[in-house]
Amino acid sequence: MNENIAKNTGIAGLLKNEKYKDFIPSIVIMIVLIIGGNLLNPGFASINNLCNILARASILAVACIGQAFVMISGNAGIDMSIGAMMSLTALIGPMVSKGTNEGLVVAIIVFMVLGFVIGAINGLCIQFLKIPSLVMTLAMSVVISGLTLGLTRGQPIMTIPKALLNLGMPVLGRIRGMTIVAAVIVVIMILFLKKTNFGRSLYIVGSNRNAAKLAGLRVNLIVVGAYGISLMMAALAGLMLVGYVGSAQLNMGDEYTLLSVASVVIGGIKLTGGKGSLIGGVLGAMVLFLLTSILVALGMPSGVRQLIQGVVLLMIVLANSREAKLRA
Amino acid sequence: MELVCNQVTKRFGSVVALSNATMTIKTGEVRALVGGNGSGKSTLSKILGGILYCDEGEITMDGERYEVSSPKEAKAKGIIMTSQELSLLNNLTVEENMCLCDLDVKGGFVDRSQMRKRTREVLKLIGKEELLNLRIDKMPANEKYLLELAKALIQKPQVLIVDEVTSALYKSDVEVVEKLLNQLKEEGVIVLFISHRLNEVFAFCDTVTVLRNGDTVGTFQVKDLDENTLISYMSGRDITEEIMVSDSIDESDLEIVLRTGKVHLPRFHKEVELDVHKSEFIGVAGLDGQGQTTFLRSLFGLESTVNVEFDGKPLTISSPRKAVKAGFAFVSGDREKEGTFKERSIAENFAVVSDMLLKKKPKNIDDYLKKAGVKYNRCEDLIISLSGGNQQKVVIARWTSSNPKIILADDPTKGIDIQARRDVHETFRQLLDKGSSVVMISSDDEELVETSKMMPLSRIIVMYEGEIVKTLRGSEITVENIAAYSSGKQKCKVG
Repeated sequence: MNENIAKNTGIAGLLKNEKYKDFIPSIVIMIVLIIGGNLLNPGFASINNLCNILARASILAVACIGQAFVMISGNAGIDMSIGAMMSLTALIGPMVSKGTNEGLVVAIIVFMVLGFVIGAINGLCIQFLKIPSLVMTLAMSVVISGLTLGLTRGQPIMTIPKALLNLGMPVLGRIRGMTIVAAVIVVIMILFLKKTNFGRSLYIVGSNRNAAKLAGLRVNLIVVGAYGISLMMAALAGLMLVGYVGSAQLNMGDEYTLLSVASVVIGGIKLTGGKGSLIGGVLGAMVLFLLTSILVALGMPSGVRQLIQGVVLLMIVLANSREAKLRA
Repeated sequence: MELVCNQVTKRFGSVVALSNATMTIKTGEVRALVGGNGSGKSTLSKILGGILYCDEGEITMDGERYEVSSPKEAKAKGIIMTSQELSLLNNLTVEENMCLCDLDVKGGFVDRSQMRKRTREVLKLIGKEELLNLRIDKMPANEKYLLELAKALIQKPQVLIVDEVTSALYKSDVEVVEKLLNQLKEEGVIVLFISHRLNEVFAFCDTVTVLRNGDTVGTFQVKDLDENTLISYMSGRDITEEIMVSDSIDESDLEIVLRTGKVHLPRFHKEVELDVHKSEFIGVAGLDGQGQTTFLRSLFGLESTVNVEFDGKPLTISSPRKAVKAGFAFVSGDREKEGTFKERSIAENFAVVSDMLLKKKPKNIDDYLKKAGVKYNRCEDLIISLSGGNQQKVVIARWTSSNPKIILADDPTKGIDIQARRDVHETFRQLLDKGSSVVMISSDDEELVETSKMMPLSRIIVMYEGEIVKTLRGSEITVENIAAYSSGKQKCKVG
């Protein structure tokens, strides 16, 4: 036992500890990016700029909670409808709220429920009709986009509630309101995942569906729930997005689908399920936005930015899958 | 033609699957290859068929060294193998399946009329011409088996390896197979007939090679053998009819925990019924795939809904969840697929049933795991840090800690070492003392005999083709009796 304690203290111990091992790549990359960004573009590492990046990453952090739930649920689960759901909420949310703060409360509840229902439909089709999750959620994203287009008639007109717009303002020092909101959501969801029966079952189900079924867990219910929660989180992220941007554009949330996949993968969530944490996803989101900001600061055109982001993601996925092979 | 195997040896890791297999088969001979589970008969046939390599020894065909590295090369040399697991593709028609290995081509395109012609010829041989143009998925199991044979025939074999193809044949079909084998014999084809059905051996074959635990026991003329001698060769013990005396145990005043009622086994179109007493150990014996697993899985709600009588009350089991809540436990021998959660810790793997389902959080996980004999470092470690045997002990402890009334175990000690096995058996015995019952399938007859001797109240049921053919009690429980009934002893009177 003494050996163990010795093994797990100090930085070397921290590096070896299973719990934190998955976060180390993201943290190292973040530090490298901040230092590198400051060298290339002095002022990059200023508190104000970092808080701004953090605010943008907050939206993705909330969006990737849902993606994390779906991926942990296993069976190569992936949710491609997150972005479409965010666009729907960002465009229709303010309309439902009628631009008032009281209306915003109604909008939050309505869209959380709507997100859960649409996500649960994804989950039901995947579990019972055996449609691959990639195909199902991609098809659903088209349906959701169509719904958005139909409801806005292509020309979103809205007044955004003040409370939502204020999310972009600093509240605690330089830290933006939206970062605080995201932090609260993340903490609640971490507790949900760690402490509730549902959360812990999700890991078990994701690790081995057959064994989970034999153990008497309600596999279908848990998987459907994971897909429901995914779009529920997307709905919240959509509202944050419109508050941050301050105006509405069609398809404004669509890019978040792939960004959410990227950030959970960077954060060490296994694509095959059963493993990973929300903290990892949040760190991944920060890495992605740090990278984007550096590229923007360097004046790269958006095409090149996407290319670089894509290559980075591909490298991380390759590194992750190689590690899995070595372990087995 | 002559096929000679000389000292052929195959190892899987440290397990010797086949050791120094030696035999000679001459042209026009129908040779049976018999043996129980794990005797090496499938391994030998796979080596001949080019699916596996042998580690040592050599095989010669007509004095020429026979060395192949794929089924394709084996086919080129005239060795064709029918597959135990059906190799027919469900979404194709009969003629497409038949000619798949060697498509007829005309001008770069598939020549369908030629394919149809060839298929018709071979279908005539098995008497199933009406199957032409039909798709495989529309056919019953027995016809698929016949087609599997036909598929081998169309490739004009010199050596035909029939791997338990007669498993699901009807009586009339068996006659077709017999006629076919005779015809092949006349053509000078060597037939290696792998079977665990004694009646087929006596009906079809000229000679028989017996394997036991990877060793070659010997090759015998079928006409010089009787059933009991063959069984004794297979089980390695002398057997006489006298052993089979029944100890009379009065079971009528024992309390019955589970009355299964009639459980339907769809593959065999048969029904099985079993009463399990309190504190009883029931070993389920039989060769692989005789319906044991389906039977046990049905009782756990994994096949379809079953109605049983449990603890004197009727119970409908529609899902594993219902079964677990009622007091059932199910230990699968397939640890990878159905046992462990390999991304999760030992503690999580252990607590999944008691904590999440029964809402009885185990207080001291370490105590439980130590009692189950698990060797581990910290219970927060990942389960895959343990050895296979220890992983399985955790999976079993998962169930035993929830105090089940009945444990269904499907070959729970498959692939774990001797000491781990003993620990598992000991755990079962302790459960029996506490009033639980255990129903355990095992493919290892020795294990069943040993385990049943450890238990205060025990019984062995032998399953054959979806039926319980024999219940053994007390001194009847011997390896040779199990071997005899597993091979369908009563049914081979005809042969």
